Amino acid sequence: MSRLLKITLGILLLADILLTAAVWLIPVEVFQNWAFQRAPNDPYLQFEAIGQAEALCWLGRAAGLVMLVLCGLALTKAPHLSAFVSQISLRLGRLTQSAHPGWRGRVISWGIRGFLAGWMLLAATQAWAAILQRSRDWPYYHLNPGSVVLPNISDSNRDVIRYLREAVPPPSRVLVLSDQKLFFLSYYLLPRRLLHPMHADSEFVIPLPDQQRQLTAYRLSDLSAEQLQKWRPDYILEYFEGPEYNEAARRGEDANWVRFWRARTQSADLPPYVVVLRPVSEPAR
Amino acid sequence: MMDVLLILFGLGGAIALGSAVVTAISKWLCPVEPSSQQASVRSRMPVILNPETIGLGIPLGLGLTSWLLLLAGMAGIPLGRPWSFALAAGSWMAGGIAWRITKRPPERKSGNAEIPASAFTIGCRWLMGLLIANLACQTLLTPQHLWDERAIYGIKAAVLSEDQDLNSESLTDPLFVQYHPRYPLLLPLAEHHVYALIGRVDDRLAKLVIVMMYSGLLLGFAGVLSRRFGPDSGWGTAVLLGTIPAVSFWEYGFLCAQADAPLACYHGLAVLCAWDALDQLRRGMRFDRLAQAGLLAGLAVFVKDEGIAFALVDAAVLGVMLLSGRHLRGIGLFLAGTVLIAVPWFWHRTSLPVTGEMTYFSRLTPAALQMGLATLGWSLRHLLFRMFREAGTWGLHWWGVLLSLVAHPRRALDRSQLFLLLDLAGALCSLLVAGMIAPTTVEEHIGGSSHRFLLQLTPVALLFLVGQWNRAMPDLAEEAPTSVSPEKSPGRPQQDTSQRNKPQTNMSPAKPVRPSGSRADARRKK
Repeated sequence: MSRLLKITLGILLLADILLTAAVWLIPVEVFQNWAFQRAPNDPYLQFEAIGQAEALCWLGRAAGLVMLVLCGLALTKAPHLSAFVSQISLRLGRLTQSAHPGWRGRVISWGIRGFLAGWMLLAATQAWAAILQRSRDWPYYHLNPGSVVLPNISDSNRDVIRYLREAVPPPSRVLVLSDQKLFFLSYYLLPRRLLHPMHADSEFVIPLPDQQRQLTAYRLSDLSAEQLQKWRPDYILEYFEGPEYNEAARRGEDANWVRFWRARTQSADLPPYVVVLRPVSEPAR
Repeated sequence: MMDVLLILFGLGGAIALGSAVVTAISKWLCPVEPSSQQASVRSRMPVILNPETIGLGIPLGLGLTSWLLLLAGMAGIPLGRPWSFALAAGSWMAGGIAWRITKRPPERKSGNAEIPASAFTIGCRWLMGLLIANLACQTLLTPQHLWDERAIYGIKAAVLSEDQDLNSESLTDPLFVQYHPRYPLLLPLAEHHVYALIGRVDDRLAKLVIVMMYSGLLLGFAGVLSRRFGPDSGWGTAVLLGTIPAVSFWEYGFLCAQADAPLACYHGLAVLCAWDALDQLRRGMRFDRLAQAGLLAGLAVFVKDEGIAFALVDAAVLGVMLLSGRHLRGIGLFLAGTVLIAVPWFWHRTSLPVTGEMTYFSRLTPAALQMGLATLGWSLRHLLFRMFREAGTWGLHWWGVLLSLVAHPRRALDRSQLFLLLDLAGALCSLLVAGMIAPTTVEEHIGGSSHRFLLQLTPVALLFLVGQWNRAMPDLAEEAPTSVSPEKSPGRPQQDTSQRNKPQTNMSPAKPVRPSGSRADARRKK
């Protein structure tokens, strides 16, 4: 057992030395270039592939070194390790031994062992899938907090957040009229406070991506002067993306927004949705 | 680096506080050498450093820290940096006092031979460490990015951090854009504690709270089950729990800062403590366990609204089990623990805005239930599909529960196992009822949340499976740890030796006494 273990460890160590040397000697850019060439012709997927290659390369470098140390230690302590592994395997055998005698007991015991093996195999598969997912996330997240990354929201939400961060000084109160649920805007715009009177018809509606489900919303004309006075907003934002409220004629109403959006997208067109921000001192339409 | 030290100071303080509370409850309600302390007698470490004490202490301490912040906020104390520092320092002091009290005198140490851990136990401990390290690394690589973790919990934590006021105008304003304004505040306050300590909002670092809860859950299971079934079985179960994909590797599990996984932790540990008490009932009531279970069930209420349903089910099932044996004090302690935590929260909750959110209890009318009956067919089929057909995604534990139940139906009728079975059934029924009275379609409501709900029940399901299995394996019963006889100890009542073999109250099993002696004695015997 000890001899077999030594041979196995020796082979593992040799393979690890070669692989670790390779990932450390080959520049990261080579892996990134390789991944870029194999990625589909989509800028997002290409960006993701390059970032993932970088993450996996560094993971391989770190894991290679750790394995090197572990294999080295294991080789020097092979007899102990051999005894340790034997004890574990014996104990596992006893722990999974059925109380029933004869063939029935053997079937149950092996059934339990098979079940445990399936459990561990499933765990290993899912753990690897999770690691791969983190490597895919790496190009977007790095080690930044959510306020920098603005993760898992639509591009339009992201643009509006960035616009409001520029245009609205904290800690202003912004009254929003929108056909969306704006939790993420509210979260990332703190310490600015977003106030959103939600239409009763939309309260229990779960939104779908890309405005596939139109939510009912209040327009500015639905609100009374008393309500505005009560809510004391410093700014009023109208933000509509759904077909029912997204009037083409209003898309260019806020010149600052149009300028901001064109600078971001390098486009001469008007934004594809309505964003109108105005300080409350400015008369509403 | 400074951030890491400050977080360690804060979270370490929470662990110290929780462990101190666990130790204090055991000393108060179980003054004669409780079995939770026996492992430490053998391992010569202070009781507060037991895996069992620390395992229960981590989530308890984190929850109590939030609860103390809630009390401070209700009293009008600003929830700023000074208060968080004071709370962390006070928690360390509480831990220090518990350490001093439970530290063994030198002569006592020399009288007990330390039992070395088996290779299997050591292997499981390493694997568990690897699982925790893996989760911590993945946590630090992902900022909060899911819907609920930002819209319900993260946003409240950020507002608390900026306004330093529990009654912040924003949180009490129904127009301020937050989701479920009346949702429990354990997580937002715990995240705020981290923000207050590091002096800024970083939603990646705040998630370390969840990693701590994960560690607590695994250690708690390892500790309690080691005492009940032996270290190999206990640590092995902890590894099994830690390798369930829905718990460890799924984005909505312990990797995110939503309340489903923390609820699984609090509910799982509450049920574990109650199960432990029931399992030892024949040898005497473990009042300390029931009080701890009550506190943990109260924290489950304080972490997510589903915790209310779980606490009600726990109390009902436990009530039936204990009242049948006339253990009124036991159920009283459980309820007292739950009420102690839940009442301040419910009181504060009345000041929070009422939106049209899913107020289930007000919809629970006979007419609504009758109308919702039609949803049951779809819900049941869907739940079974999730539990069994999708096992490749969420884990094999529900198959394990089913197989162990079919293989050993009689064992499932043991008091402690029956408690778990009824608890699981009650919780699943509560989900079905929620689907019947929800204002959204059942496909969206149950279909979109059943996987997270089942995650909340995962520790209980595994506990049932392990309980069935361990009673089936003769090897484990044989090798379960034996208790050490009560010895004369300063400040503790000494027990008459003639009582040792009689059924004991307030005390763990008195199995054959392991011969004490030094390692040298053991070697000589060999």
